[in-house]
Amino acid sequence: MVQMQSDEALITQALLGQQQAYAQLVERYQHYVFTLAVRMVKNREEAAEVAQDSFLRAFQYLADFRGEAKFSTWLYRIVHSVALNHLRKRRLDVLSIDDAAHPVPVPAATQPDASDSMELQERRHAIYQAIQRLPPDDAEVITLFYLYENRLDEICQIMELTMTNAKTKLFRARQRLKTILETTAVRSAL
Amino acid sequence: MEHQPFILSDDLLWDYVDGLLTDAERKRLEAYLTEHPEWMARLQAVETDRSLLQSVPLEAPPQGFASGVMGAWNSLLTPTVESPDWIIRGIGAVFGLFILLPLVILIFNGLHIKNSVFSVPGMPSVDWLALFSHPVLQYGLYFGFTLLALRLLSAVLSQYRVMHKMMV
Repeated sequence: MVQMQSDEALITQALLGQQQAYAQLVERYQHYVFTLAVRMVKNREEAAEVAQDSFLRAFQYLADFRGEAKFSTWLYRIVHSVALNHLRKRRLDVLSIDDAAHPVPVPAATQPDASDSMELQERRHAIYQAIQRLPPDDAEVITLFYLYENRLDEICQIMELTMTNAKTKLFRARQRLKTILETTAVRSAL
Repeated sequence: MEHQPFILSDDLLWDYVDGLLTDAERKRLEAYLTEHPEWMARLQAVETDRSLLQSVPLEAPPQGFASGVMGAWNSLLTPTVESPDWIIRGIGAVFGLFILLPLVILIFNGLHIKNSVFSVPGMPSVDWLALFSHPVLQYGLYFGFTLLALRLLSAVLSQYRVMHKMMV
């Protein structure tokens, strides 16, 4: 049985020059990094660019990782910074709730889980689509908190926020998500 | 002192399931829910939505993303790891020549000193002006400095290229 190595072990090996360790870190985190990038830049091609640059930057500064926080927290902080720079560079305005200028196509990964009822599947799909329509920072905080199950103090580190600001941001993101879900429900009922 | 009236809302329920309430707030809410079971259905709906939020699938990166990252990483490493040996050897040879040539001249001049081995030898003299005005040495000097400048330029450019790729 192949035992999965810890992040710390892989980082040590990578710093010793083992390319395979870098590759394993990419394999392990590629979905998380890419998803966070998609949530922020709202475009799959640009998200792939952001995700790649985030990994490269992480590798370049890997020796600076002190292990005070989780590796994932440190990595997401880099993604956050790279994606923000990317957004600034492209002069992308924060997407409004009704802006569908850069729709993110629903990937095959959203295929319904056979164990769920039809109602739950529809609800999950609606939530997924609502997240795509959230402004970047709202989508980011929702993804980090619910999907990646980061604690609020970790989100503070990633997004460089105070605890109060992080709590407020999460609250507002949830409110916006709720508004989108309600609007969609009304539209589909009409 | 009287407690403020407890107003239960969806937001409070979300804070509850998210674990963001203080111990006192949590106990107060749980007591309220026990007294008002009609809110239990709402709590369950919030819990369901929360678990759905947690189960939203991750985005799949493009095909070959991981190998693309590793390819880019290797190409970033290449200019810093690999060094053009012939440039370093060339520079070494030129500088070696500069050190060896005056030594050879000194030794050559020393052999022609007429003094006996018992007398105190005078300092051999070298005509440095004539030495450095020699065309071979001058071209060698130019060549050496040109190589050195090219090497420095190459190092600066490769470093700049790496930094530029890193800066987004």
